[in-house]
Amino acid sequence: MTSESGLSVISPPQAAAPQLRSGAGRSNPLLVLIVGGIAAAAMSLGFVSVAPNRILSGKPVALWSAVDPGVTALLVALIVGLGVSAVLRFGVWRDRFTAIIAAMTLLTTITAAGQAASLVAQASGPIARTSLGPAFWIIAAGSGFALADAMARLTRNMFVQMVVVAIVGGAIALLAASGALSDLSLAREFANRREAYGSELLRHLVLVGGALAGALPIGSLLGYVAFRRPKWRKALFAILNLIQTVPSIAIFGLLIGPLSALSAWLPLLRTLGIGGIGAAPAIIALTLYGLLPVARGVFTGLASTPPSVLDAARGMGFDERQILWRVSIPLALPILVTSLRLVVVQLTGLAVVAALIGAGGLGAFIFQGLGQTATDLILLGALSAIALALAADLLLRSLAAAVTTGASA
Amino acid sequence: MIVLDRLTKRYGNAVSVDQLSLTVPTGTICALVGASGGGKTTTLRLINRLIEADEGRVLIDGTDAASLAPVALRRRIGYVIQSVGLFPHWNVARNIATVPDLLGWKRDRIDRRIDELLDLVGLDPASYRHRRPHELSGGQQQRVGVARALAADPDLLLMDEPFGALDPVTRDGLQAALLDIQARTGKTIVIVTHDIDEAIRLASLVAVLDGGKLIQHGSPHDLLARPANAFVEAFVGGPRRGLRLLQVTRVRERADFSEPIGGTPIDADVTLDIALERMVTTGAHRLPVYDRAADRRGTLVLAAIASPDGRQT
Repeated sequence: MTSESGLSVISPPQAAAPQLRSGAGRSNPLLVLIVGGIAAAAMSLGFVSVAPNRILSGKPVALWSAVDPGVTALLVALIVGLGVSAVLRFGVWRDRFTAIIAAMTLLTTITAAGQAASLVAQASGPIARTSLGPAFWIIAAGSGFALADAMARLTRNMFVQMVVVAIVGGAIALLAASGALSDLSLAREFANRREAYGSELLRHLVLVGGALAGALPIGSLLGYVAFRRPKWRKALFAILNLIQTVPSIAIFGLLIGPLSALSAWLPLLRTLGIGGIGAAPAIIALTLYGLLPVARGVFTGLASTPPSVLDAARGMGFDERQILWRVSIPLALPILVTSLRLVVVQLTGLAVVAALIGAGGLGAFIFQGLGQTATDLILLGALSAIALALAADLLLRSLAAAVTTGASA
Repeated sequence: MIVLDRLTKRYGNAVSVDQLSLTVPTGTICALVGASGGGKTTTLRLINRLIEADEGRVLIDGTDAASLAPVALRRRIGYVIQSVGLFPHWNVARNIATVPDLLGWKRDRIDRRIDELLDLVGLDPASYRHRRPHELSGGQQQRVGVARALAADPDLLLMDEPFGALDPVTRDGLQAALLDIQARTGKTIVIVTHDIDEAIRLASLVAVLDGGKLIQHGSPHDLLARPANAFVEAFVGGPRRGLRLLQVTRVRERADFSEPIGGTPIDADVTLDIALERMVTTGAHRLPVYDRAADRRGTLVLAAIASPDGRQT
């Protein structure tokens, strides 16, 4: 656990540069691959797909036919720029250049897709639908990867990475707010469900939050028991592992019976909205899934206190509770935050399935979209769930970085 | 005064400490020595009740250790271990403040104490107070470990192979520091070591343990001059026993103060190994001796070094 100052993080590529200057392997092979993929996709695949209405399937339209020549030229220039940075020699400036070009490519691609949709809307009227095509996804994903790769080389400081993500995310949000993307089919699906979207997003957060409220205390307690009682450890983790292997749908299904019976027997539960379907079984199932990672993290964290530190603490006259709160838990903090991150991300993804038993959440859009064969509606739900999980991941990564620095510096 | 009274600890059928009785007078350093598995560390941990005895008592200044709560007992006893065990998430000052914090001392009293102790163990308070354990060398960590053990001014200090993991030069420095600290504070110290040279250097009372039993105890000189059995003889040095005996015998015991000779005298309080070294390097068979305490002069002859009764034969 060494602390990383900004300087020491940036110096390795600088130190490596003199060795690489004379030798082979000057280029960044990953970036060469990405740029090659982007170029091939832009030339051969549809940038957007245009359909006469929401139900009919669309036809692919290439980049240069979909947007203004100026926008095409800008995007081509940026991709060429990315290609140039891929063959530059290693160094801080190369990576900074790559990061900036990659971010601009990502934003320009999104702007171009919005423009393509607007052009279609002007030409064919508001019923026509413009969906994002494979070339768009490849350019967006490729430039996103290039940005992440360059950032990873430039700094391991989580706060700097957070700021970059916030800037790019903020720029995309600004684009969306300005109406530049409003003619995209994805945006139309969102606009049609604007009110439902807010409540389903909230519902999703409630499902995850409710499951955390159950899994964190119970899982922590189980982890502590596993730590304190070695005899119970094996059985405990065997059961938690077993729960983890049961498919989520099966758990939802299993809970319907007993919970319906329970709410039929106790009318009070029914008035509280607890029954065989809905939020209650979903939160219970998600809680069960959360138990293993929480318990495992707490156990591993507490068990990681060095024996010499424990011996010294006992010899100094700490009682067991003081050892736990003053020594073991502070030393376990990085492991505890990491397991919190894993469980939050896992539950955010799993909560999507909860829509199947009427619990709502972002999964509702996905299952509606599947029912209506409306790809963009599926995409709306899926992209939102992914964005939510990524945001939680990034936030908790920063927290983990903060407590790790705090523990070691 | 620490009295171990017929202490016994069993693990299943194995006896780790067997009817061990030993008295450590106040203000002395007692070394528990012996082969590994001999029960040294177990005996040490029976004193602060990190291990509970099956039989027997530990009396600390007349108080039965079993009559105190273990946690309260341990806060009254300093404890130093080989692996140091500094709290890695706390800086040096907070590590040293551990027991005073537990005892609820006032902040300014703790701060003064931290500076005092850093001075005592030879670390500059201004530059070490705020360092983290991982920023210190092994020797510096153990200096902080000793300071932490002394923080609440305990009368008794228990040390379990405290310098065992350090290189010889660092170990030498810490042994000197410990002797100096003991001389200044008058602590009673019980130290576990497998290093007979360390025991000879530090302790005035050496207890040899084997198979959980106390085989022999006495001054280093007693053990070297009259080992009770073959085990003690082998342990205290085998072929090197005679050389070690020189290290614990003072010149005054072998000098003849009736016939002073001229030249630069050697102090009567240095040990025979130093006198012998001087003879070997200068080629002299006799050295002038000066006894500062009695203000008298005398002679040490080579033959007297070899002869236990101090006379030439």
